Parts: sequence; C-alpha cells; structure tokens
Amino acid sequence: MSHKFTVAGVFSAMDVAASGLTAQRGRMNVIASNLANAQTTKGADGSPYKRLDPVFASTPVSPGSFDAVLKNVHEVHLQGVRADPTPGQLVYDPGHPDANSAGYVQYPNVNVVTEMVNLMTASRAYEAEVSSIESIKSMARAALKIGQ
Amino acid sequence: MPVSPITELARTRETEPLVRTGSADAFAPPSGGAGASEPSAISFGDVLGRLVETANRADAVAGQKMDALASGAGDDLHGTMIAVKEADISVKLVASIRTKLLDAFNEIWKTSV
Amino acid sequence: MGLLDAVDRLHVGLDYHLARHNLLTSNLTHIDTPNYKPLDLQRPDGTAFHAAMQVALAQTDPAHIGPATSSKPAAEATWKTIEDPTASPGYDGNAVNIDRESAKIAANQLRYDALASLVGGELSGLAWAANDGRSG
Repeated sequence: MSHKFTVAGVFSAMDVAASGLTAQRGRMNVIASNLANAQTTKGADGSPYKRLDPVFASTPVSPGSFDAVLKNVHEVHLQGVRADPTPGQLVYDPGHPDANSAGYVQYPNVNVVTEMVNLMTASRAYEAEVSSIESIKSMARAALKIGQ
Repeated sequence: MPVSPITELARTRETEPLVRTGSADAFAPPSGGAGASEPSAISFGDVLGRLVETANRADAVAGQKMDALASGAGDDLHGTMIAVKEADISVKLVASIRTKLLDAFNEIWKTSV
Repeated sequence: MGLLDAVDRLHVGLDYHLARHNLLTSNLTHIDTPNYKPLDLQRPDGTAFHAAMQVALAQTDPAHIGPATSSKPAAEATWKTIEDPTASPGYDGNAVNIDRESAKIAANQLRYDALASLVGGELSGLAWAANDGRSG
C-alpha cells in the first residue's frame, strides 16, 4: 500500500523487500523472453528479435518524511524494457526463408550464456530478498517477546 | 522523533538520596537551637509520590503507543513493547514499595505497647 | 476512562487485522483469475477507528464494562473494502502481485501478533491488580 510510514521499522523494510521481489521476477520474465526468442529471425514487425533489458526505477517509500533514515529508503520497480540496439550475428544461409538478397540471415543479438548468467544473478537476488523478509519477520517476533 | 520511554525509569534512578548531602545524619537533632526546623531527610511519602508520578507518566506513554499500534497508524513495534513493559514494571514497583511500607508499619504497630 | 478501554481498542484493532487477513488470503487465491483486482481494507484513520469501536462496544455482551450504548447504526461503521490502487493489471486483467500480497499478509500477521500480545499483557496486569497486587 502506498501509505506513509512513520519510522524506518519492520513494515517499511518489508514493503521495500517485496518491491525487490517483484522487480527480480520481472527481470526473470524479460530474460526468459530473450532466451525463448534467441533464434527468432522474423518477429511480429518483420525484423529479427532484439534482446530486451529491464529498466529499473526507484521511488521513496515515504515521501516527505522527516525521519533522517526513512527519507532515503526507496522501493524499486520495473519501469519498462529497453531494446538492445547492437546488431546480432549475420549467418550465410541462402536457403533460409528470411535470408536477405546477399544470402545472409540476421539472427537476434541474444547470447545464451550471458542470459543464463543474468538469470542466475536475478535468481540469487530473489533469494536474498526472501531471506531478508525472513529476517524482518524474525526481528519483529523478537520484539514481541519483549512484552511477555 | 519518538519519545524515549526509557527516560521515565531513568529519572527514578536519579532521585536524590534519602539523606541530603551536606547534612551529617538525617536523624541528628537540629543543632544550634534552630527551633522548629524540619529534619533534612526526604520522607518516604516524597519518594513514593515521585514513583507514582513516574508510573502514571509511563502508563500514559504506553497507552498512547498501544493506541497508535492498534489503529494502524503506528509502525513502532519494539518501542511500544518496551513502553508497555516499563509501565508494567513502574506500577508493580509502586505496589511493592507500598506493600513493604504497610508491612513495616504493621510490624511497628504490633510491637508498640 | 474505563478500566478496559485500552483492551477494547486493542480488540477492535485485532478485528481489523483478522478481517484484512481474510481479504488478502482471498486475493492470493485469485492469483490466476482473469480481470480480478486485489482488494484491501481501507487504512483506519482516527474517525473510522472510533466509529468501529462504538459498534464493537454496542454489539458486545450487555454485561461488558464500558460505555453503555452507541447511537451509530452498524452498517455505517464497518471497515470499508477498497480496490488496491497500486495494483497494475497484466494481459489477462488480473492485477494480483504474489510478492506484494505475501508481504502484506506477513506484515498484517505481525501487527495481529503484536496486538494479541499487548491484550494478553494488559489483561494479566489488570488481573494482578484485581488480586490486590500480591500474587500473580
């Protein structure tokens, strides 16, 4: 929820971590799209698939807060995707239906190894956020024990 | 900036000693024929009164913080828990001192002829 | 200022968080439903909370220690269900984000646990006082 927090406490931390989870999941979706289309020589607009990069942006969790720490705490969200303009490989294959007049086929600029590395990074980041949420819950439970 | 409830209890620790510094003995008779001068010790009533005041203040702070948490406006978990526990201890401290005073009074009352 | 005022306020807070849990769980259940928008309870401000408390006190047992009756009708003072304004729908119209809903459920549970712990502490403190402050 976009309500304002009063202190940099467990609830603000949880919101931030949740936004991180969503952003990483979005990133994994983009990577999956790149991997799936690594061989797509003719996309919807007729040109070869261009690999996509996620674009992240951050927004403050409690805008206008006077708390020195809380005003610097930001949530992340996936603002959109950006097409990678670098050209892909040209492969000589005159028999291919998408070959140009010189007999070359333009393949997408997707490097499967790079995408796999990105996928592992995103997956690790997701796990780290989950473990951060577990820590937050455990801290809150410890705080409840004070009152016992 | 949240009010630190720890200052409430800390203030009781800073209470003046039962015997004011500068006077040799609380129970010494006033010297120099000062007439109707009061003994320089602070009475138990003062100490108890100050503790009750501290307990009231701690209780008010705890009540405020509990309301904030219950109504969803507050996000301060550990601050609320600490304030509530401090209020609880303050009240129990007052009651415990009152009990001891009563017991002491009863003992003295029984021994007097 | 009644003896059990603080307990009543905490009780209303517990009701709110339990109701909210139901709503958030139902959001998670509809994670694949097309055109489903996640619901949530309106965040309570001072007036909504006070109104809900009047209803809660009026509906309880007549032997309850507290304000006698309330003039507010029950329909006016329940928690309002709203659609989550920050949810963005996907291609099938479903706007449920599993991470946000899970985080909300976790946070809501923590608040519920905190209030339950406070109620227990408050009632046992009153019980101690009722026993003349000697044994617990």
